[in-house]
Amino acid sequence: MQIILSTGRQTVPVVTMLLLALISSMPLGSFHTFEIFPMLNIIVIFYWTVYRPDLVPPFVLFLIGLIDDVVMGTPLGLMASVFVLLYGVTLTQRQFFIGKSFYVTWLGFSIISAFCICLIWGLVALFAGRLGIVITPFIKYTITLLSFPSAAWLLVRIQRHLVD
Amino acid sequence: MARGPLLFARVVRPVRSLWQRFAFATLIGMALSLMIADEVDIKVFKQIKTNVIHSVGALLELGAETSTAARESFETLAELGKFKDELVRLRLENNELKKWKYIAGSLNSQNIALRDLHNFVPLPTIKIITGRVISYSGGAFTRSILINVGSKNGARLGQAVMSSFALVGVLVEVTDEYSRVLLITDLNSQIPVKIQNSSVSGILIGDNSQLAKLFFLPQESVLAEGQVVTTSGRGGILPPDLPIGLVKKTEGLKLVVEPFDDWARSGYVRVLNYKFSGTILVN
Repeated sequence: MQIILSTGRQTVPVVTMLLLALISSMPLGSFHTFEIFPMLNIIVIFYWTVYRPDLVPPFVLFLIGLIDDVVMGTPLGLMASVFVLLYGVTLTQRQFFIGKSFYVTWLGFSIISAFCICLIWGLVALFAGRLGIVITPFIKYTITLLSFPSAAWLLVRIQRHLVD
Repeated sequence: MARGPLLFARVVRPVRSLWQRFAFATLIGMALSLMIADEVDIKVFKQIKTNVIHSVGALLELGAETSTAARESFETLAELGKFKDELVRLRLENNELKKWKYIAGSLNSQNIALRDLHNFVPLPTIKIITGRVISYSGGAFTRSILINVGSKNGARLGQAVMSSFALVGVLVEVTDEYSRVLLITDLNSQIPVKIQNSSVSGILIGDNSQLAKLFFLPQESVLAEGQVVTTSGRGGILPPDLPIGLVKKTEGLKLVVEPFDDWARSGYVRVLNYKFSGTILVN
């Protein structure tokens, strides 16, 4: 029983990532809300990589990226590469965030997520052979950044009650 | 006695340490090769995509079902108070439509007479398959939707998808039960169009925004804001005269078209099972 419980606790980060990958592509509410829906995947992957990297296997991120690609219609492997890169970059900077104030983490997230969104935009443009619009990704980035504190608040609760 | 597990550990340990060292590079490499393989259309990867859509589709469908039900009941509650005004408005609209019905009737009989006179060969008849939108891609990087109509229901690659009256997009991926619709505003979408009631035709290209741009118009073509853009039917893939949107504003040579996106509210779209003889679809 103890083993099942502890394994269950360890899969919480992966489960939250998988659930978000699905929820963020479901037609919840009006379709126009999608334009202003934050990229929750990036937040969750960043959070777990900083605070519990031992529970974030990169292979799972790769798979979640693949699911995202298929659901979103981006070329297969695009989001997978972005998620794995996000993981890698965050992991190298992890020591810097640990024990610092929330604002430092937020600043770090703002830089890393900007890098991710630029990368997605660039790859999509590369595959289409044409440059896409810049304003919508920028709005998406701003909203993702603004929703980071509330998402982190929730994730801290999840970590405290379900994982640790 | 302990040899078995010891041997196993001996094999696993170096593999695990290798994986830990190179996992990152391997995964990035895998992702890059997948992207390239997907771009050059290798069959195995098509199959992977189909399988993932298949397994995720049921979940997405369930989500779409519940969220629509919740939204509809909220909307009904919110609109209860406006019923009386709505009734008056509908009566007025109905009177207006009755007038148009007679005009359409007379135009139709005139049309039939003219077709008879010229031995006109009619376009193939179009069968309609209605489906529910089960997923919508974020919008910032791609614009496509997944619908619960698949090859089982008669969907084929390249078919046009409409809302109640306007073109929404084209089918670009078809599996047994689900299909992906590339919206006309997606970066990869290019559709031959014409301006209604004029001889001007061009190509409508998306840029991932809510609007699409008109390119390759004849020189010196004059367009006014509010003109209706329809499919031209050139290339034989899409049926002609499906309304797309309105010409919005002119920015030098670039013309912007605002699509009629009424599907976004209803959550239902219609696939046009249309086969123009002589069309060759790659794939």
